[in-house]
Amino acid sequence: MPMTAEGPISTTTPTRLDPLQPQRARPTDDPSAGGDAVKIDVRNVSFWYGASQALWDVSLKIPARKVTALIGPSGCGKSTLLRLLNRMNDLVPGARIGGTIALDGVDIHDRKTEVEILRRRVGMVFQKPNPFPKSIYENVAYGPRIQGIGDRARLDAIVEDSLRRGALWNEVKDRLDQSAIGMSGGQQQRLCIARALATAPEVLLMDEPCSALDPASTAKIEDLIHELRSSVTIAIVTHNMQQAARVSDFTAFMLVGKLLEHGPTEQIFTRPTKKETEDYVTGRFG
Amino acid sequence: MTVIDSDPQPAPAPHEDRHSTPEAVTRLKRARLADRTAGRLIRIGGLGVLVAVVAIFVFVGAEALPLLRGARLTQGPELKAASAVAAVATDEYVAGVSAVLDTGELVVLDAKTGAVLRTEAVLPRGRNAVASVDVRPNGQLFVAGSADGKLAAAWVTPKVKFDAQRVRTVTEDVELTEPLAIREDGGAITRVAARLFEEDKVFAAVAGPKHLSIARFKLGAARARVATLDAPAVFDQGAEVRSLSVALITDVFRVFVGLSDGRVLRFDAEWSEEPALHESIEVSKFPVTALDTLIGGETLVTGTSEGRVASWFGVRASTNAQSWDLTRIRNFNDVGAEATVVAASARKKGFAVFCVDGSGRIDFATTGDTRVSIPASGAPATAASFSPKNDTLLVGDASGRIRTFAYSDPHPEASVTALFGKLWYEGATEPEMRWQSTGGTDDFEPKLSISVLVFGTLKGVVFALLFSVPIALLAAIYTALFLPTRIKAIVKPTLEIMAALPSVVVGLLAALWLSPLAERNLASAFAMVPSFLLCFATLVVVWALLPRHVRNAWTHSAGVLGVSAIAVLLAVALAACCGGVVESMFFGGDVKAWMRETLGLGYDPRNAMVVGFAMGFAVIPVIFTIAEDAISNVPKSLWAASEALGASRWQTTIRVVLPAATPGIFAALMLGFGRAIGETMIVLMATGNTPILDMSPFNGMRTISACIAVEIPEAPHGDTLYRVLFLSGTLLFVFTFLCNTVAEVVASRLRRRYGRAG
Repeated sequence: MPMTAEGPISTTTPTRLDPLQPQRARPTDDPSAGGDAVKIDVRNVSFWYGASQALWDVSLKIPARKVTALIGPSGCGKSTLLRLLNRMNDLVPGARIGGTIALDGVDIHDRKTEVEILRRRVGMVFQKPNPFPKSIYENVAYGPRIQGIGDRARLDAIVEDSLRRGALWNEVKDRLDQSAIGMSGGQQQRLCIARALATAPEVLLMDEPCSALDPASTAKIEDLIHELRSSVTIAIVTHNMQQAARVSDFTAFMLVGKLLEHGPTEQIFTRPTKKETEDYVTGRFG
Repeated sequence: MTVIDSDPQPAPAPHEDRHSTPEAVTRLKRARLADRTAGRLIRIGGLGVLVAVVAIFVFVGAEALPLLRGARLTQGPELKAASAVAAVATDEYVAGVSAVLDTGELVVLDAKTGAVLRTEAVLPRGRNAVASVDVRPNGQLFVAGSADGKLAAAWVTPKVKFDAQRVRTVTEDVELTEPLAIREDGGAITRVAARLFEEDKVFAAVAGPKHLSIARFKLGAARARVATLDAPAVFDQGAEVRSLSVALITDVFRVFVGLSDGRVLRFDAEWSEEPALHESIEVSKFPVTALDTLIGGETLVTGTSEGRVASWFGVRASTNAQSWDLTRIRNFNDVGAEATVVAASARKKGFAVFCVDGSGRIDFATTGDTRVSIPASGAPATAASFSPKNDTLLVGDASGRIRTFAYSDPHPEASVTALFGKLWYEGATEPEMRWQSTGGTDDFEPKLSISVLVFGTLKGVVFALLFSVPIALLAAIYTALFLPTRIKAIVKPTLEIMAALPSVVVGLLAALWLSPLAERNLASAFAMVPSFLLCFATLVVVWALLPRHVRNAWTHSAGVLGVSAIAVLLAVALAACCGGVVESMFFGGDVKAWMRETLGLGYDPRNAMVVGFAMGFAVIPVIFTIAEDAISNVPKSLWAASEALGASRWQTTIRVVLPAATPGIFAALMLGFGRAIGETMIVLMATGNTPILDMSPFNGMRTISACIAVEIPEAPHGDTLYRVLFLSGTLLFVFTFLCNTVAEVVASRLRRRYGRAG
């Protein structure tokens, strides 16, 4: 565990931010966002792992209560971009960021932004299910407990609600005290989603949430994404074109650290403006 | 895997079968053979380890096993004398059995055939002669008293000759002392007891029914110095002398007189000094019919007419008391009928007691155990003694029969109570657990309480773990979770090198450097704890006040180590400076005196504190390494999951990482425990090896391992001490084994509970 840095990673050139003067990004209308309110505004973000640059001047607006899919071949930087949105890359040694990322118009690297609060607002689901080696109940209750909710009745309510939203309640309601490790992979991933929902996030980041799952489980997760769309902004990284087409409202195509194209999913998959996009979505490379 | 061919094939045919060529088959066969061979070798290795462990356990245990063996008594030849036996003894070769009969004759019989080798008239031929014998390594002193108040002595010594075939023949030399008139009034002598003093002096206690006197004479002398003991008050009350015994402790003769009213009188005298009555104790309501002192002379064993047997020795009312009183120490099993003879064992604190039907028993006084029973002969036993080598017991009875028994009881001291419970040892004020395995003299009473050693072992472990566990665990958490990888790469191997330091070096430093240093600067040593806490608390506050970029820069470099080192130096310096001030301010200028007077605590230079520190030093790397690995091995995905839910680093550590690492941390603690429990050199050198039962951190202890190391070279092979040391070794083995098993079971349970981690 690279628990090295304390505090946010340094934000340096090329667009160095003055830490004393947080930039307040203006909410803007974006044609690709179809007039919806912008939840997360990524502006000219570049990112370095030490000496190697992973992202080049990426700008992306993620609209509220929509599903945005990030697609692209392996190593194109889509996971890196996703992890930047709730500052999961903070602790990577030698990481550096340029540009700004604003959540509801407030820079997430602002000194006033507590990273813990940010992450409660922007939850995350990982590629491989990673439930804690605790009971199902304790897994879901973890986030609320961290937030200082100790009242049992309230916890029970949150747990039930989260599991219901995670489409898992009916399967586990009789064995909440059993270890989460004994569940199937699909159940574990839905538990992880329920766990993330328990902190009442506004945004849910999903990093290839179905890549380790079988088709049946994948279908359940996709249904779940459909359900959640009405209440949560979702950004999903996926390798699966069909999945992107099925679940997302908007799609962003990335290639070697650059955002090549961004628009409504239907447009990206049917009338891409760039040749690379077309090649990729039609499976000619990837 | 072995069939992969890395050579680029020049355009292989699309369906070329590469898997059934002869080469491929051979290669596969070879791989299978290698697999099988490796599997077998590994299995042999594993089984070998198991066998070795079991073999060690069996060997060590087998050395201790004879401790469980009871006494062995086998009846030998039964000899026949012409008349009732008054005293009987044999030489160290058990060649000739000498007996004084109630006719006043001394007969020497062949111990095997019973043939009469020699007959001497010790007293003028008559009836109702009484006698006693003092069995010495080089001979037997018989003293006989007659019904007309005369006393005679016979000094019987074995003479050994070897003939041309190197066959040993033993003949008994007899040196008679002519009868001496002891009782002026010509009254009968009914009891007699004597001790040989300085080669040729005889100190004899003589008693008639209502008479007591002491006769002192040289062997072969024509006159005796007689002192009549003054006890008419006792006799006036109707009491009569029923038994008599003399003990010699260095140069003081202690005369015990058993009376018909159940009392025992004690007179003390030196050779040239008049005897004086010192004590009169009530042993029983019934006549005291038999008594004798055990080897060493301290313990008195009494037998009464209704068969009660008890042991007594002098106990001081308090540790500092000047005088002592005979105190009932232990009651032995009843013999069932009137006890007639008590005979002390020649080597250990055992004794034989016989009664009117000729039956008897051998008991061990220290433990109170009955070692062996002897069947009845039909006639009252009248005399008994052990051979000088303690391998033969002789019993004479009123019908003139002398039974011989081969006797062997190598480990009477090793009873469960002796090893694990409290026993009342000679000279102690109460029953206690004690380890004192050897003394200067043959009559020393060994005190072999393993409990003391177990206590010492646990004490050492407790202090070592008290010191090392917090440090090692906190260091492991910090290193695994908070330290930059680059610095961790330096810190971890450095700490692991600590484990490579030979414990003899640690022990040496602890004993010769640390312990005198701590003793000289005791106040400073005490001040170290608050000083460290203060310095590190200050450091934390200062750290939090530093600008964020400075902190970030320092956490990524070795700066954090430098800062910690400065804090440590500051803490030591502060403690060193404050020591004197603290000492004069709070402890009146002398911590040790203050401790002694205010807390009642003594201070030994080599103590548990020093050991805890030194052994902790040896244990820290063990706990640290394993715990650090366990924490580092907690999957990063768990960490990420927790952080993504908005948990801080500390919350993640406490709520996710540490619980997941619990099995590994537990294993680390158990391993540290095991390391501490088996540690030898450090405790050997730094504990002072004082076998005391005291949890105070300021005195020492004796651990099992150190005790084995110290005493096994001096323990005679096959001796009780030798076997008890092996027993304690077995215990240590079992202890460690159980510890590891429990650790493994608990760890695997935890592992199951916490899933994949650990």
